[in-house]
Amino acid sequence: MSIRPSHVGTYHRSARTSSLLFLPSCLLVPLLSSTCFDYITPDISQDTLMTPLFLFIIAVALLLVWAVILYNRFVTLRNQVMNGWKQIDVQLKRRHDLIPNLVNTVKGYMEFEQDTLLKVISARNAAAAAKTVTESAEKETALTSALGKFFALAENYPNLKANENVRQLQEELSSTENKIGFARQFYNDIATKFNIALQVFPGNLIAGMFGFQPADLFEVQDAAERQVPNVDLSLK
Amino acid sequence: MAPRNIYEQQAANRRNTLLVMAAFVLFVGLLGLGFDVFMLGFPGTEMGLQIPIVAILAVGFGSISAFWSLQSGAKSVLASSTAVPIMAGDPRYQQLVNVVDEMSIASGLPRPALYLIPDPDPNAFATGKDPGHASIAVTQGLLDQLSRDELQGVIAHEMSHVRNYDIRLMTVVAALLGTVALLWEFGLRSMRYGGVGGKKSSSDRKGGGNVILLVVWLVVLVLAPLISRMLAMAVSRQREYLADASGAELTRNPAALASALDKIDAAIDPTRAIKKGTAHLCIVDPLGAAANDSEGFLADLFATHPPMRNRITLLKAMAYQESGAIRQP
Repeated sequence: MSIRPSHVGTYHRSARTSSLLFLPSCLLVPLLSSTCFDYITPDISQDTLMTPLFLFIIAVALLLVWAVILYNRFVTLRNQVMNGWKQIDVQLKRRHDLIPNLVNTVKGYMEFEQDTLLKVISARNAAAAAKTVTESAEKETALTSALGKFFALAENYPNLKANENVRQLQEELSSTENKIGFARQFYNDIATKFNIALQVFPGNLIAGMFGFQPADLFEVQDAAERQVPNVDLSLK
Repeated sequence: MAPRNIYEQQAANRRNTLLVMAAFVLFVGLLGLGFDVFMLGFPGTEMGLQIPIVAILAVGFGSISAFWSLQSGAKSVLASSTAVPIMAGDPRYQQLVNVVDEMSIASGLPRPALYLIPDPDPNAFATGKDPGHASIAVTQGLLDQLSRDELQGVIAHEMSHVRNYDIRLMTVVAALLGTVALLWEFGLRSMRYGGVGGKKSSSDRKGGGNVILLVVWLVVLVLAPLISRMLAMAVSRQREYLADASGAELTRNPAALASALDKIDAAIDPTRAIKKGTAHLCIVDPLGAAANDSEGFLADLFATHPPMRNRITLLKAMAYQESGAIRQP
């Protein structure tokens, strides 16, 4: 019993000299000193007086470390979210670049469908010229449906489908369509992760302190796209 | 028991890779120790020192090959299945390259290197150290027989293996399996030809005290190929289900993967280009082993893949759920 207080004393001193470097050993100190409080003899009462101060310092240090970890996590996630958004832009840009190529290639085959081709071109130009995010989303949706109509019509032209160039362009375009979809899907996943991290307790305290804003999710803009297509399966 | 989400799976794979590597070093060390005792009769005994030279060498060799299996196991796996790299600009593989791009966007991972295996049987596997150093190999038959959506499902399945770090464990196991097979052969030969004289002299000196160690050594030697096979199989079964499910999560199209598995299952020829040691990496068992068709303790020990029917049924159930949700107003 006479050994224990002196042990506490040595722990205390070593902890004081390196309290910042050795956090785990600091954590032992309050535990040990509080359980051994009754045994401590007057000759080390100086150390026991320091205990509340130490507890306070440790608590503040832990809080600080925790806040730094959370803050860094938010910054990492926010960058991932922004990168996810850029990825969508990259794919949209690629689609805008591909469409003139396609139209030029198929012009000769589809002279009776000038109207459709014009619609695709104008939808493409409108989408490329869009300034705001909502405007862009709206125009891109219009472009997607114009392209869909074009590909449906192209099915009627066997010569067109046989053309290697057209086939390649069509593969590139449908892949780009897919990539846009997957980039949006990934963006929504990562943005949801970010938003959850911001909104759950106690992360929301740090998020609020540093003014982190939740990311917008990508939603279907056109009400028509939400509707379920009516499929008639009755055999007439 | 089995990991349920990708984070648990990633952690379990990193841990198990280390375990496999440690077990391998231990195993090789034990072989070396047996060699020391029975073949050389512990050199240095006359001077009162007992230095297990071969055991030390073996541990060194084991550590090096374990490290090598992690660093360049993927290369030897690809080489052993005669895979050739696919260039991004090649118009013949434009669709494959696009599909892989789509899946790397959907999973948020860097694009893996692509390899083609000139084999008419449809199959695919992923290998590599981590998502930054991953490769996906597909057979010519896979490209010829699957539609675009089905190919996408298969690639999504492989990307899930990449993301889950399944590839790391599988590649290390494959590379070390090859080394074990080599050692086993070497050990058997040394017993048959060189062993007799050494054994006599060691038993003269030591008497019967080492009989137990001899028995253990023999058992290890005989069981080594069996144990390593079972190891490769045990680590493989559950993760196929998980990769199917998370692959479907990437494409949001489980029906396409289900029909791809259907087609791959219907092709009854074995994938000849893929050797036995790398079978556990593939999306379906290239050898078409019978144990894959059943479940239970024994099948779990000896099959590399879950029953194909179960996988397809599970994927179709996912697809039905999805279409059910859409049908509701």
